[in-house]
Amino acid sequence: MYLSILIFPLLASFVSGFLGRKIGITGSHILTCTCLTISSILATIAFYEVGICGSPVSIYLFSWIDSELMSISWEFLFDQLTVSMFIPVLYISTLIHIYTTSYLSEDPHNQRFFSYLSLFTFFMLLLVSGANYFVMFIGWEGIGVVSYLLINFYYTRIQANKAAILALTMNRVGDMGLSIGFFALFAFFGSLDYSTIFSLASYMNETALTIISLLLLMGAMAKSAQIPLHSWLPGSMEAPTPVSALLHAATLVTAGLYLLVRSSPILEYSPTALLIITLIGSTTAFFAATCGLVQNDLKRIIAFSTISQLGYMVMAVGLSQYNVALMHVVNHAFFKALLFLGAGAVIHSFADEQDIRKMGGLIKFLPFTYTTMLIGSLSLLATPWLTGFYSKDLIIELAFGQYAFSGIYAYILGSLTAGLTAFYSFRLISLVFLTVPNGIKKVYLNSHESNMAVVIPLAILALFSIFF
Amino acid sequence: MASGSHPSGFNPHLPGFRYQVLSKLLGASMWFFILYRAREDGPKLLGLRHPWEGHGHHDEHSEGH
Repeated sequence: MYLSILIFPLLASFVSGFLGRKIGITGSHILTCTCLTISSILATIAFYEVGICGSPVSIYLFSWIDSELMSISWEFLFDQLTVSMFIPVLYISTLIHIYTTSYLSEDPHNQRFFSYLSLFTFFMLLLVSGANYFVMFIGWEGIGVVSYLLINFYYTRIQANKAAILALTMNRVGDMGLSIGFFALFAFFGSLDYSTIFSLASYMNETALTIISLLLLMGAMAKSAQIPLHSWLPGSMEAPTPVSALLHAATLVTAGLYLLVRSSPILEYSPTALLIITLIGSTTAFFAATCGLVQNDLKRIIAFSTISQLGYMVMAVGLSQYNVALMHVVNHAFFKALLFLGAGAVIHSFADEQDIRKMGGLIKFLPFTYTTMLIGSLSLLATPWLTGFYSKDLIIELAFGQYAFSGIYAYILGSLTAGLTAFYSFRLISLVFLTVPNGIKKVYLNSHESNMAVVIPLAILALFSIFF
Repeated sequence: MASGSHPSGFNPHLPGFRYQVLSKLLGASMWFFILYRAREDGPKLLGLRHPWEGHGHHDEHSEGH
């Protein structure tokens, strides 16, 4: 059952990609959505068995590389961290597949898009379920390649080409550091298996662990858009909105966080690395929030908001609060995907306009979309008792409780960032929905809510942003 | 959905009944949950009561509890 969680998206991707002309657009929709739904149900069962009942699963398939000291095998580990990542990845991927059946209904390349989306989901699941750094790296590179394909989906657009190449090359910079980190891990531990490395970490030289941690951090910084490797994320808004919601809010950008949380047994023995992680995370959170204040593109505001929240998560890792960071990963995935999908609904209803200065007054035309975006924004703001509150507020409190310079630095920047987040979030809501209409009359005449394929994912994500 | 034209000539498609009801239901759910949790946990969040002092509106517990 556990491997079938990974196989179903891969199967959907292959059939939709290679047999797309045979099965048609409707066949591609039905196949991918059904396979993702089945995977989600299986992941829920896995979460109950592994996460709640506490029985992790390890599956050894076969040996891959067996060269003197180096022994790498296709092995999968389904522990509490893995199944905790399965839930947001699969639920959001399934909802986005359903959303996209309507959003891209007029696009002639549906089969290719759904194939890429399912392939991305497979690689993301592979990343989080590997039992060694090598299998994780296969998933890591896979999501990088598929993100290039998805950002460059409209491959005739020069801006999309540039954005995709920027994303790929910036991630390669991080991958370089990550690869050298793997070399260092193998040199010191003689293995890339999690179990071997984490059991030996306490006996290793602190300097060596610091260097390894900083190299792994380099990979995480690129993937999770931390300063200075953050600029690919706003550019990747050239992709269709479902791509932004899946990759650049909920899944790909959390791969770096997963790497750090998974490597926590190494990080814990290196106070220097934890200090640097805290400083980078808190600086990124503040800087990205200041950038989001002055953006006028709807999706770019949400993109900078994503970078800012990723900074919070990295800050939590630096404070050694890995479970809180993971909680924020999951909460953020739901409300950020909600914001992106809501933005997509707004853009689609407004003749593909993305500049918020040319919108306004849409509350009367799009009441449901307004409600869902308001819920997502309030959760993002850590409004008490919504999901974002429990994780984001706790991160700031834990920073205050650190009683060290890094903790106070993180607390001050985290608090300021929370204020800035409130400002740009309500600037977005106000300019899009509440203020006087600033757009063209003809666009308002044609503005309308989307159909049920868009409404249902928005409603489900809104409920997850309130109650999860 | 248009129920007659406006003298200004601006007759947009207003959202249907389903969307309005759904939006009100969703918004009401959110506010209900926030206010309910505020009643239950508000004093603890504001530091007016300790978390171990029991829930909001119940009477004092009996000795044997």
